[in-house]
Amino acid sequence: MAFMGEFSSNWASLPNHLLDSILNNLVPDSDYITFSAVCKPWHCIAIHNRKHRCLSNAILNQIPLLMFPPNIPSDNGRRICGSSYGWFLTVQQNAGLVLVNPFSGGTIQLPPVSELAGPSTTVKVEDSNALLTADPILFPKDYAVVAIYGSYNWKRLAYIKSGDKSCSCVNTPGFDAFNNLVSYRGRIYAVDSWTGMVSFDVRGVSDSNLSSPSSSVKEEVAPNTSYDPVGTYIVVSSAGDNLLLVQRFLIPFTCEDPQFKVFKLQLSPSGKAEIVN
Amino acid sequence: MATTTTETKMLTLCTSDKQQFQIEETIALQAVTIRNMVEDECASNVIPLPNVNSKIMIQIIEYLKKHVDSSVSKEDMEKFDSAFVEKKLSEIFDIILAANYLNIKNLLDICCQRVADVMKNKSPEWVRRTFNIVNDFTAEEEAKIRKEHEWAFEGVDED
Repeated sequence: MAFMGEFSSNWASLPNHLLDSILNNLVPDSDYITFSAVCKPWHCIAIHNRKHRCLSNAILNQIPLLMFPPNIPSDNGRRICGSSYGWFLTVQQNAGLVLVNPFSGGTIQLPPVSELAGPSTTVKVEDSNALLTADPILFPKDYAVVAIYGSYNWKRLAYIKSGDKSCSCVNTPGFDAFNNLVSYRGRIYAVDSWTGMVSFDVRGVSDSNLSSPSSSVKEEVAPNTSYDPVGTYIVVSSAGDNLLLVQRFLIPFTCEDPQFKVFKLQLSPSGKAEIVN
Repeated sequence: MATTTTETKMLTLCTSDKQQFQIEETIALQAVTIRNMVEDECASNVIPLPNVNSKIMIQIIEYLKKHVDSSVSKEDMEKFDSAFVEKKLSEIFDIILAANYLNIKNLLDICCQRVADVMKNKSPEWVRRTFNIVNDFTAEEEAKIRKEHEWAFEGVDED
């Protein structure tokens, strides 16, 4: 009788909301995955708990969790080219992208970006120019890496969806000097050096239409100014509710500090953006 | 001379194995289920708790008695809580079900936290063994999950 208790508790069929409470106490993502791999009922709970987890991760992400100096010298010449959802995106010349989770030490190997341009071209993913569209832990089948690759004034967009064997480029005629990109409400927004912007949904890209995302929108967004901006950036406001376009200007022939102009972008349902102020 | 004699109101709880527990109402009312019964006047002299046995009830009363005491410092309460959950998993399991039925939120929270702590940095196999859970995945399903999250299964504690 004394030993019966040990084997009569049926942990697999604990009521869902109780399993949920246990899962919410498992903070590291690797523990979340272990939980989901124990048995079918727990797997279902983990899948249903994903939304909650995304939300709490989003709240946590408002604190800059990953702060790192550019060009960290790391093993065998890997460079960090971006960070999303607690992962570093690292790249090495002529080798694949590797996602590195600095907390768990986990790594995910992805195909190289350089294949697109052929072996003779210098292709480089610059700092802060790659991102993840979703958390690889919560959406192992449904995340993608989007990166700006190229060199100097020739910079194009490419993406790799989870499970892809190779990298695909995004067809953006008229835009070939991308400067900066951001993921916002399920779409990717990228700006070029001349303040043109494209937006697209990586998930909307079908296999038969690989090189041109179905719902891409291209436009000139920023008003003409008397000087050309030296840098154009697209950022999501810290509260996560606005998309902002930031231009940096240097006033010629003066030693003044750089000036910035910030525009708020209003999005239409199709993903088209216009400046509101 | 004025004397204030506040009579301590007592409640009688009857567990599934027909044991009766007389406890102060203030202690018992921390359980929302009991409070609702008392407020709705559903409760006669004896409150039946068919989902809780006496062995678990004793432990829950111990917990409630401590938590009704407002003189206990926050630090001491945390110490008490962490010592309280140092039990066999089978007991924690029963307490979770009882706390869920009686609706004692903070007791439920510390027990769920304890279960999560046990699982930290362990492999799915270890968790199955420890919690006596049958692996009901097919070999294919399991391989698929492993492949999706290959990286996560490296570096867990040795079984």
